[in-house]
Amino acid sequence: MKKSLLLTFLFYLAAVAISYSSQTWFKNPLRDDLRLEPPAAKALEYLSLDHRGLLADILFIRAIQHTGSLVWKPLNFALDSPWKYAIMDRVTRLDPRYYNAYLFSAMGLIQDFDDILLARPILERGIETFPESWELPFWLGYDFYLYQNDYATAGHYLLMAAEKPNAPKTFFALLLKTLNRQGAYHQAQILISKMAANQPPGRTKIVYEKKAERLKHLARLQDAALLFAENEKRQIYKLDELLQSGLITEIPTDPLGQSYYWNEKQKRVVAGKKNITQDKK
Amino acid sequence: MRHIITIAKTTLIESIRDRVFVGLLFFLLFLLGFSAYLSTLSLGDVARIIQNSGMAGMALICLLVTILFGAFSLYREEERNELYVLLNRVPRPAYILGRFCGTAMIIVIFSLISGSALFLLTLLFGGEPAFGLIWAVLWNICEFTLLGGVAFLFYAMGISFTLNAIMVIGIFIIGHSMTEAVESFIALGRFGSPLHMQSVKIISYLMPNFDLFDFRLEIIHHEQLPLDLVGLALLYWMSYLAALLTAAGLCLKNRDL
Repeated sequence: MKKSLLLTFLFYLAAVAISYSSQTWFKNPLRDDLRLEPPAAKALEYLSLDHRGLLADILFIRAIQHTGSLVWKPLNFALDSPWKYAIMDRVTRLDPRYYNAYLFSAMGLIQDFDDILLARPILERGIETFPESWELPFWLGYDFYLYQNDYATAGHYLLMAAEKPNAPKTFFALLLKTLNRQGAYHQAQILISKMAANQPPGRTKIVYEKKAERLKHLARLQDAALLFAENEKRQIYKLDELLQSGLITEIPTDPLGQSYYWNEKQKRVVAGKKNITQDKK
Repeated sequence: MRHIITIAKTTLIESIRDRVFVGLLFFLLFLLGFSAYLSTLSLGDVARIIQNSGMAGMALICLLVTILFGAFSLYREEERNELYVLLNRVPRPAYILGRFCGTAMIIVIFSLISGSALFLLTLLFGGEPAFGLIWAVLWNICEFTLLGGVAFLFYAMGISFTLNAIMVIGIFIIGHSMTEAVESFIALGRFGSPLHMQSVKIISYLMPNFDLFDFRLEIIHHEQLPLDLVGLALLYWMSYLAALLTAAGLCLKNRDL
């Protein structure tokens, strides 16, 4: 009996030792992780047997692992954006109130320039589910600003975020820049007036008030330029044309000491130093 | 009533003394440990993952309890020829009811142990007291006592243990797919055969609908459970269970043993 037990133990020990050695000597090659196409959300609901939350968690962990593994894997292992967003779509359909999943889709999961286009439908569902959240529209707007240079879309979402209760004022500067870049002067003026009102008296408040005044001028001039284009069926070359057509009575003075002019490239009125080459034109 | 209490007590003691009881406790411990490990892979959703995987573990354990302690003990008694002695002294419906109450108590014990362990794990690792788990325990008890009732009915109908276990698992799967099945067939009813649609709807009314006890997402999101649905689910549980046990009693009474 003792002999048999000893023999069993020795054979087992030998098997374990062989397994250890084989794994040490013949290391497994680094391979791409297995990514099965996720079934439709409805099929997953069937499979979950009412444990939708657990299935959503497991799929979410898979997406995290795929994204995280690329931190240490060599560069020839590419990120599978369509797959990871298909997974996140199923996660948020299995548990539509999974806030962190929406947030992760807009933050940690964004790696390529076009990822935000895949994340957008997921986040829009998130915005609908969490109408009070400022974070979801903020990240959507931020990503459109940063990765797509789409200032109109970015401005739309950032403004949406700014209007939410509890939205911090810290990203208003980014929003202001976005609105300025897209030429949404009216919205920018409302925003900076709010920022000025929230400031305690001092130098910053004065600067904000001056910027608000400038944006008010720009908005008025821009509206006049648009009206001119509508009437004359062409764009203006110089702001003087607005004076001549009687759409404005004077060109206002910039409170920050610069001048207003028509930017041909951006097709809008801007404030700053006028380009000489443009003047010669 | 005296008979029912005695048989229920005996069933409970017999189950606790069974080695399977300890085995299931160890399995539960393993599942809870696994849920704690799984939570470490998340991005700050520790409490959520512990609760989700723990609730799934609780359901799995109670499914095993229903089959092993609920159904299997009945067949074992029959095999040992104890049943014939017992049924000479106790009315058959009282025997079924007593056995059921004993099994229900085991389900309650396992649900309470899992619920308390989950509460502690969530508090320990997730840092939040998940009081909603009390609901999870209640719905688990409702679901598996109902499933136990189904197993008792199959037993009373004279179905063999293996087939009974397979059919119980089948009912468990079907009962959790009712809502999804009806939703899937809505399109078929609208654009295809209305007869198919009606058949699915009728099956969903006749079969035990465990979807009614599914409040898991509300529990993990700390949401208030809609009281009307809670009341409806409890009423459904009581009436369906009463029907199952009455039918089981009736079947056993008329069975030639």
